[in-house]
Amino acid sequence: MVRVKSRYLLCEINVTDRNRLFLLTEKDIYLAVKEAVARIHGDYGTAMCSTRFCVKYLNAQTGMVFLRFPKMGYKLLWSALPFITSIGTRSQKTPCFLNCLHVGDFKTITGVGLKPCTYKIVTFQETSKTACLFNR
Amino acid sequence: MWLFQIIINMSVFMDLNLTFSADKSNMQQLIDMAAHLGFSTVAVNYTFEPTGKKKQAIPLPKPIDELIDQLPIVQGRSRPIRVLNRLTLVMSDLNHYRPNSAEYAKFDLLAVQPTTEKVFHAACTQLDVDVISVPMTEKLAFFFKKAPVNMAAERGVAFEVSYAPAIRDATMRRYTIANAISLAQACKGKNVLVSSAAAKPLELRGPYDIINLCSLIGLSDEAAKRSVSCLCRSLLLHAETRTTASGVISTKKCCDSSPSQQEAPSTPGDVDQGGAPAAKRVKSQLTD
Repeated sequence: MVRVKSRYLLCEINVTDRNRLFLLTEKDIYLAVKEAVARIHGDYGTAMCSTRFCVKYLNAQTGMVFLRFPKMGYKLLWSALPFITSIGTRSQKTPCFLNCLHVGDFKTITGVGLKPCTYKIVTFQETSKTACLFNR
Repeated sequence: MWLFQIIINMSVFMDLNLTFSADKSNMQQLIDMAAHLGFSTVAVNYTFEPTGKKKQAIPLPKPIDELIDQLPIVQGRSRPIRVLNRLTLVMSDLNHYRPNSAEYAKFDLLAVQPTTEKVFHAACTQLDVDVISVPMTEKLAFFFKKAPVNMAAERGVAFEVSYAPAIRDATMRRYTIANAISLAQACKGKNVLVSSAAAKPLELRGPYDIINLCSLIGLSDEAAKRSVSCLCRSLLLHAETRTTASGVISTKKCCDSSPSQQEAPSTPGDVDQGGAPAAKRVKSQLTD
């Protein structure tokens, strides 16, 4: 059966300052990735990006993001991701970088994505608990 | 042969170039980030550039306990991250190199960054180093020729490509990619070590991202994965034999052998306890 195939990339956004992480939206990441691809791969990269690239899901608390790329040439677009140094508009730039954890189709991504997510949620809850106790 | 296959299948990632800075909190964050990304071993790099005829002191490596308080646990494994010391000599003249110097023995890895063709040729053929660092931030003053590069590959010396300058600046990016491509073509993809020269924690990248970056340079997927995992491991073994290779300590060839290593001395009999601490020797015999 002929089906339109995409590749999903599970990435983790790493920041040094956790409070800035919560301000990110899907649109910010979309623009940041597009801009990085344009910088590195020029017009060809921008054209490849415009067809079927989107940010499928973003969890600002844990920093997990699903990116969808077209199957043809996803490696080229993936190679532009390490060059992202900050996300955000000119007024609010969050310095960060993307760490790719898993590549696959949608089913495997949602299955794999849960594991590091739950780990991060647990550690986040623990650190926030201790922070609350300390502030009191 | 089966040992060879075990070494190929391991996915232990290492980043053998983290720039040393005197700021303790920065180093702590850097190593925390490396552990978070999944690197099981990192090496803190001290750069030393001997200039002029005066004898300058080679910087002493700070012991790891002074550098960071507590070693973070690598994400995905249960062991804490291993931090090593590395020295990079930026050399333009062969007289600057002091062979078998006692100061070199304090570092776990020794690298040389040649700036002229003579030094490059000597580094590939004679000098007792582990890594030849290719300067990424400027146009190469010399071309890579296949003959010294192949000799270096036979000796087990790796060529290093650093990617942090590429992330910082656009012109650096052009030089980095250009130099890296010419290096990869000369080496045919073997013995190319890819590492960050990260000064800040935000300049590090995850191992799979680095593997993908290598496709820009012209390395195949296998070669890229090898450059972040197997090659680093064989380099550490090569470095161990460098410190103990005066024939005084015997290394058992069956445990220490790796495909690119040619210098493991196999003198039977003499075992000297004074050279390397026992913990270090035992570690090299363990397969991670």
